[in-house]
Amino acid sequence: MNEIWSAFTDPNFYFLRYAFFAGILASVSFGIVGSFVVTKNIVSLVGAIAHSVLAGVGCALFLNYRYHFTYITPFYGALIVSVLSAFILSFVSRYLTGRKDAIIGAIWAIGMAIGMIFMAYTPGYVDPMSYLFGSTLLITKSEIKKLIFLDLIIFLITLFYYPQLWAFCFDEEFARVRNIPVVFLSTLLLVMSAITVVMMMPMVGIILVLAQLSLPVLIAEQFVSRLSLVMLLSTVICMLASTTGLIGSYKLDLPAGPVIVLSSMTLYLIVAGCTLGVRVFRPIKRKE
Amino acid sequence: MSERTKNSVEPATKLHDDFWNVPAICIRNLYFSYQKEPVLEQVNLDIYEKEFVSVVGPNGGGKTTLLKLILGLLQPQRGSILIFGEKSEKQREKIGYVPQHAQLDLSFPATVLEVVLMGLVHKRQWFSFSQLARRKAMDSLATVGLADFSKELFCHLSGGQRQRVLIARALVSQPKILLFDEPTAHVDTVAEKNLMDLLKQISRELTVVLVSHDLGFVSQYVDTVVCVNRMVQKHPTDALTGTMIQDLYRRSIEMVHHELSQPEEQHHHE
Repeated sequence: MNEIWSAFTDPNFYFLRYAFFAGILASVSFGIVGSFVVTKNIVSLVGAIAHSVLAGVGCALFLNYRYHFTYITPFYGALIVSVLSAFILSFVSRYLTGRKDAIIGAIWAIGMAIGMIFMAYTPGYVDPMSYLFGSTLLITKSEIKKLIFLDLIIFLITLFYYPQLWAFCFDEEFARVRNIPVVFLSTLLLVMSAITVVMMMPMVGIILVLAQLSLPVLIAEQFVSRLSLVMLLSTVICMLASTTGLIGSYKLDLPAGPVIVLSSMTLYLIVAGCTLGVRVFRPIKRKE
Repeated sequence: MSERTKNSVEPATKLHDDFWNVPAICIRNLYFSYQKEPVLEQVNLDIYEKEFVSVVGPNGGGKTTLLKLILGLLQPQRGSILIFGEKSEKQREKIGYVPQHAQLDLSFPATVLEVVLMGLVHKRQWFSFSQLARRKAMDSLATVGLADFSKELFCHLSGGQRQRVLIARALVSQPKILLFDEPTAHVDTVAEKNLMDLLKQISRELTVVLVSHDLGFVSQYVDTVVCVNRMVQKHPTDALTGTMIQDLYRRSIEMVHHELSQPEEQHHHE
């Protein structure tokens, strides 16, 4: 423990501190948005958004190195493309009839293909691995500031729209009957997830982000049974997982993203195993 | 509802009826199709206030489509639907809707009270629910006899109880019309009878429209039966005959008589 603490306070290991704060900050959005996404069963839609983000990263890198548009960083490129693909997917999932699944899958892959082509055109060698699986070295001080800002936005939107988003996630048809703007809300939810995905990109990468979005919620659901509490608990679990993952990656000298995801998975397996055991020995009573 | 409360509201309603006589639901020359084949055509239907109506018909006959058209979830290609003389989008506040509970995602984390509160969400609902809203939800749960279950998880209830919670959710916004989609599907016979008794009680104060496939059972309770099989016909319950039903389903059906108030051993099928 001392060793980790000394590394944490060591000025040369500044990236470790940044990664720690980034993990804590991103967890807030992950808990909130993840709860909505998991309960509304749109994890695959968010997966498509996450993967198409690579197009934005590639495009930003290309413009940066080719034409020296230095104000378009990969972060902003990813943010723009993710929000764009949130709008496209919101449209696809609502107005296209039939074979939505296949179209979502196609958008998933097309985004990655565009991203890789942009990277191929970028002069010099660009390693897509750090964007796909995360690299704590990408986190800078300005990244942390952006995370605080985006966290605040997502938190305030959720606070404001909570009853409507909640009713929308539970029963969309009934929400429509109640005159709730469901098209707006579903787009809002996808845009929020897009922002969240981009926030966690440097930590766990755009491929592993899905696990970090859904596993903490799945764990939290085992303990609490109200959506607001699921959000709170999954935020805490997400913080726990990213911190332990970070420590593990430092100790074992492994990339942080995969270790974070595996630590979430370990937590989930432990919790699922325990609840399974509890259920076997003491079945749920149903009030009559 | 006690007799006294019913009497106390009667004069005002009577006045209203005499002056306006606007049907609760008024459908004129309605035509609707998903693809080329019409699902509903030449539909003319009036449902008056406090009528207890069952919509029956074969699978694919257009029962649920008719319900969704009334709710404004679908738009008709031709014709009009007026709720208390106005377009249904404007009058949605006056409609309570109870979907089939089997279609809901049961793993959604929500307590019974929260599910009922969803019936009060509207498009200017920000932040949270007021104490008044919570009280209304509790009252509504008491109406369906589930006040003790408010803190239970929705997914831990039985099928019949879940259906009651959804009825409470529809009632909480104090609608004038209640629409049900197959309320007795996936519910055992005892729960079915309890549910119908509850609906009968509710129908003294509201217009109740329920979609059902079990005509024989439902006709003991309702005032009027609306037969939907592309065309729509309305009959008072006592005018129902075997040939009508035969026409509707295009085959003879055995009227199954449920002696529900009796114990199991006396239950018989003819």
